[in-house]
Amino acid sequence: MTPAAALKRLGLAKGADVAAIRKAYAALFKAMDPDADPEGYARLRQARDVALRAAKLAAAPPPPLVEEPEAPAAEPSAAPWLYAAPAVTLAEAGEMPLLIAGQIEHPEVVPPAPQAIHAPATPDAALRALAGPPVLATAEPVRADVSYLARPDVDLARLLHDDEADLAPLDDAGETFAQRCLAALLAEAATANLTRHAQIEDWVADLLAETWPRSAPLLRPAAEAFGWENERGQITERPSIAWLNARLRGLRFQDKVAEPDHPLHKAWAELTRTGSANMIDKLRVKRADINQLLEGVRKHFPELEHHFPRERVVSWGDGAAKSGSGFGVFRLFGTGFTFNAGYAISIFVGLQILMAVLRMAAPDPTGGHDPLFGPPTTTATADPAYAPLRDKAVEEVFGKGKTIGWLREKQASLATNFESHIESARSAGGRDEAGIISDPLEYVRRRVYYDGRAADVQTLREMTKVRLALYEVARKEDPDVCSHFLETADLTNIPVPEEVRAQERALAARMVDQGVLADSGETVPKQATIPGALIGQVIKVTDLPEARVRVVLKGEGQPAERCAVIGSLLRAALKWPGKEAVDILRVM
Amino acid sequence: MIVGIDLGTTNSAAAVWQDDAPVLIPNALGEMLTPSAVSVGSDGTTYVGAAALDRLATHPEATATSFKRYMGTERKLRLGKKEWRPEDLSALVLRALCDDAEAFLGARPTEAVITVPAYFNDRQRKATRHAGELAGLTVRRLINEPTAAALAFGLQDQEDREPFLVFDLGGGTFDVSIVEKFEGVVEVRASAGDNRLGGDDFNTALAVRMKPLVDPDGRLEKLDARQREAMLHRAAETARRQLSSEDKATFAVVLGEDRLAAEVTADQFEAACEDLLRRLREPVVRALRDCAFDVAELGDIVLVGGATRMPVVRKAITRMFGRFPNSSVHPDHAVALGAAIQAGLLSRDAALDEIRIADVCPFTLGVDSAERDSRGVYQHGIFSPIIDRNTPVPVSRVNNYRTVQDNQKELLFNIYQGEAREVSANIHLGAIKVPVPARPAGEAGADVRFSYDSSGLLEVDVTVHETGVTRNLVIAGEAEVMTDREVAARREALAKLKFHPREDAENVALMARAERVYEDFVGEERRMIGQWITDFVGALDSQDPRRIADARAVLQSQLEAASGPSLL
Repeated sequence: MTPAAALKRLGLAKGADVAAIRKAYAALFKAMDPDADPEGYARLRQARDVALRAAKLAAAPPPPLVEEPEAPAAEPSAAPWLYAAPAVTLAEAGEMPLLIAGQIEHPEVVPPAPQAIHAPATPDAALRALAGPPVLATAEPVRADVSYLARPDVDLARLLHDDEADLAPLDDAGETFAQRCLAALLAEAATANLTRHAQIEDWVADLLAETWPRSAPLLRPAAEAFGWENERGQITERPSIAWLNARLRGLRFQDKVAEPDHPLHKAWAELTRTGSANMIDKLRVKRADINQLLEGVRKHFPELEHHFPRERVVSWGDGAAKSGSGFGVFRLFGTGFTFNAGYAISIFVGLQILMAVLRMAAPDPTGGHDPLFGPPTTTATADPAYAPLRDKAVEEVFGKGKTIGWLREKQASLATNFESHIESARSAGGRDEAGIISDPLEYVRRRVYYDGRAADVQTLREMTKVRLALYEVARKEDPDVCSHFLETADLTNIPVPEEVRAQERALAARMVDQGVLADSGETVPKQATIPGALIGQVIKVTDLPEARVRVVLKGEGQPAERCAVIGSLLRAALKWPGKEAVDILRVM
Repeated sequence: MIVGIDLGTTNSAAAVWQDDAPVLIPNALGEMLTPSAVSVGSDGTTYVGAAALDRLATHPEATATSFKRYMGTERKLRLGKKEWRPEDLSALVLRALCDDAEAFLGARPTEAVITVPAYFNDRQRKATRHAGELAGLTVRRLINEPTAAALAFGLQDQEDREPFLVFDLGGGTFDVSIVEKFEGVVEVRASAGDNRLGGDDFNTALAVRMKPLVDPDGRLEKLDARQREAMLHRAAETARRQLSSEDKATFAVVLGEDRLAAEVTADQFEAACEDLLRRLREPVVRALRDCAFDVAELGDIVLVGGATRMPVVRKAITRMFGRFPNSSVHPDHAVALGAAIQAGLLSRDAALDEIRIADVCPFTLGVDSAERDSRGVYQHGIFSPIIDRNTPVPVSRVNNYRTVQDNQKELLFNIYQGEAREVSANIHLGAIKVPVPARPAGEAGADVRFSYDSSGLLEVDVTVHETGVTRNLVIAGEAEVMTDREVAARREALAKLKFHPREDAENVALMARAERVYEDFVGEERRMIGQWITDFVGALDSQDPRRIADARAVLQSQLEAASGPSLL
C-alpha cells in the first residue's frame, strides 16, 4: 500500500500529520465492527501504519548526508560501546553514545571516569566504578597512566583481540582474568536497565564471535547469563546468537565425548590422533562408531571436524570420508540455516571490504593512462626490422601459429598497445629477447585479468582458473609475491611452468578471438555479497580465525594471510553453485 | 447484565459496569477478592474462597489451590474421594462469584467477560470458556489480563497517553503488554509472557531455600507429599508477605507439637529468587523488540498482579527500566475493573461510546510443512507460520500449501502454536486432514485459513482448490470434545454440590481460619485457641443471631491478636 493510497483509505489529503491520521483512524475504527470484517480491519490498520510511517518520516528532520562512518582506526573490530565512557553518559541522555568509539583514535588515552582511577582491580570494584555516580560531562578528562583493570570491557577486548598471537588459546592466567572481566560485565548487565543490558549483550556476543576460538572458555557463562539458548531455534533468533549457540552445542558435545563412558569416546580418541590409522587401531575401534561420529559431527557440529586430522579420517577408508556429504570444501553447503546464518554478520562486513579490495586491485582499466597498463599507445610506429621479434612475442603470449597480423586483424587496439610495449622495452635496451617479451606478456596478463572480469560467465570462470594456477605459482615463491600478484596480476620475473603457460596462452587467444581483450567499457560490479557458508569455507581452508579473515577482506592484514584468504575465497567461489559466485569473481 | 470476572491463580474478583463506572462486587465476607481455592468436607460439603484456603492447612488432601495452572491440561486433582478437572474447580469459583453478584445486583448474571493471561494458549482459553459454561454463564468474551488492566489504567482520564507497558505478574502467570491510547482507542501493540511464572514460584523458591534450615533432620519428609507442600507453601507465603514490609521474616512450620522456624532476610530471599527475577526480563525484551519501541519511548510502567507488590520484584523492575514504576492502579483490582469495562463495551453502554479496544494475538500460529533444503531433500516438520505473533485481532489469514509427492492422496495439516522453527518444539493444537485428487507433486493443493477472533479462539478452514472440498476445525483438545448434553449433565452435577448457605459464609470462613491458626501454634497457646473455638461453636449452636455475631467479633479479634490479620 502506498502512502497516498493509505491516506485515501483514511479519507485524508496529502500532508496529513500524525494527529490527523490517528483521529481519522480512530473514527473509522469506531464506525466498524472488526469481528464482522477482519479483513477490512486489517486493511484499515495497514493504511494507518503506512500513513503514520510516512508522516513521521516527513516530520523528522532530513538525516545528515554523511557517508557511513569510518571504522575506528585503532581497532576496527571493537564494538562502539567498548570505549564509550562508563554508565555516565547513559544516565542523562537515556541514549547510548553509539559512535563514541569512532571519535577516539587512541584507546591508550581513553579518559576514564575520574572515580575509576584508583579503583582496585577486583571485578566488584570495577563494577562499582562502571555504575558509579554520574560524572558531569564537562569533567576534566584525566589522561594519567591509568590501570585498565578498572575497565573490564577494555581489558577483555584487549585480552581477546591479541592480533600478534594469532588468537591462540588463552593461558591459565589470561583465562582467569578474562573470566573475571566477563563476570564483572555480566553482573552489571544483570542489574542494568534494559538499554544497557541489550548493549552489553550485543557487545559481548560480537566480541566472542570475533575472537572465536580464543573466546571459547567465556561462551558458557555468557550464554547462561543472557539466556542465549532459550532463543535457540526460534524464528527470531539473532544471527550472531545462532552462531554462538551452534558453538555452544559443539562445546557440550566435545565435553561429553571426552568422558570415557560416552559411547563414541573411543571413536573420538581414535580420529583425533595424527597420522594414519593402522591395522591395530582399526581392530580396536568399531567402524560403525567412526562412521556415526563423523556423520554426527558433520551434521551437527561442523566446526569440530578440525579436530580430526584429514589423514586419519582418510585412512579409515572412503566409507568414512564419504559418509558425510563429501569432504572439504563442499561439506559446508548443506549444513543448514543455523550455520549459514551465523556468518550473516560477516556478510555485511564482506560488502564493504570488497570495495576496499577493489579500490586497490582495480584501478579503472578504461583509463588507458594508468601506470598498470604501461606507456601511452599513440606514439608507437612499428619498426619493420623487428617484425620477427613481434611475431615471436605474439607466439609466446598467444600460442603457436599466432602472428602479429592475426592480432591486428582481431583486435587492433590491443595489437597497438602490444607493439608499443615491445618498442619501449627494446628501445630501453639492456635486455635479451625473453626480457623484452616479458613486458607485453605482463601487459596481456593484466588485460586478461581485468577484461576477463567483465566478460561472460564462461570466460570469467576460465580466467579465474588460470588466475588460480598462477596464484599457486606465486604462492610457492613467497607471500609478498602472492599478495602482489592477487592485487595487480603482476608476476614479472617469476618463472611459470609450461603447463600453466599453455592454459594462459589458450585463454588469451580465445579472448582475442572473441574480441573481449580490450577496453570493453563494461562495468564490473563494485560489490558482491559473500554467502556466510563461503566465508565459513575460507575460515576452514585457511585455518585462520574469523577476525583475521575479516581484516583481510577489509584490504588489510599480512601478505601471507591475504594470499591465503583471497586464494581460498576465489577457489570456493568457483565451486559455489549460487548466483553470488559470479559477482564475487567479478569483484575480486 | 454482563459481569466482568478476573479468574486468577491465587485470587478472583468480579466487577460490573454500573452508573458509568466499573464497580467491584464484594463477596459474602465483604471482601473484594475471593481466593481461588476449593475444598471438600468429609460430608461432601464444598467450600470455596477464604474458607477453602484456610482448610488447605488443615485438610490438604481435600483442598485445591492454584488450579488455574493446570487449565487446558488433562491433569485431574483429587479432593477427598473425587477427582476434579481444573475446569470444574474454576467453575465452582465462578459460581461463587455469580452468587455474590446476584446478592449485590439483585439479579443473577447470565453473561460474562472472563480474563485470561495474554500468554494463555488456545487450549487454556478453551478450558476457561468451558469453565464459564459449566458455571451456567455465557462467555461473551475472553479478554487478556494485561489488556483489561490497560483499559482500567487508560480510562482513568480522557487524555491520550504515551505508549505504556503493563507488567502483570500474577500468582501463576506473567504477561507484558505494550499499549497505546489515543482518541479513545486503547491499542495493544505487543504482548509477551511466560505462562509458568508467578508468585507461586517465588513461594517455591523460598521454600526450597528454607526447608533444609528449618528441617535439618528431614522430619517433613515423613509427611504426605501434599501436606508437606501445603505447609511449606503457606509458610513461604506468610514469610513473603512479611518481607513486603520488613527486612526480615520468620519462616515457620508446625509439626505436631514442634514449631520449626528460621529467620530469612530480604537479601536471602532475593538471592533465592534470582533465577525467577532474571526470567522477568526476557518477555519485556521480546515485547519491545516486536513492536520496535525503545525503552525510552515508554511512558509509564504499570504494575498489575499481587506479586508486583514484592519489593524484590519492584526493585528488579526499577533496575530494568531505569525508573520507578507507576502503581496508580490497584494491582489486584485493575483486571476485574477492566473486564467490567469490556462488559460495558459489549453491552454498548452509552458512556463507553467513544472507547474502543484493539488487541493482538501474542503468539505465532501455523501448520507443519516440508521444505526442500539446499540439496533438494525434503525436511519435514518445519513450522510454517500463518498468523505471526502480535498481529492485531480479529484476524483471518490464508496460506496455500501443495503436495510434495506424486499422486499424494491427502493433505494432513497439524496445527501448532509457538515460536520455534521446528514444530516439535511448539504446542500441538489439533490436526485436520483433507483428501486431494491424484496429481503430480505440487499440482494439487489446498488453502488453509486461520481465523483468530477477539477472544483469542482459533478456527481453521481448509479448502482443496481442485475439488472444492472444505474441512473446518474449531480447535479443541480431545478431552474437551463434549457434546452439549454432556456439558449440561456436568453442569447439573456441579450445581447439585452441597454448599453452605451464603449467609453462613462468614461463620464458615472464621471456623476454617480458627482451625488453621490452631494448627499453627503449640502448647499452651494451642489449648487456648481450642478453648476459643469451643466457645464459638457453643454460640453457633445457640442459633441466636446476635450471640453468634458477638462471638464472631470476639473470635476474630482473638485470632488477629494471636496470628496477625488473615492472609487476605
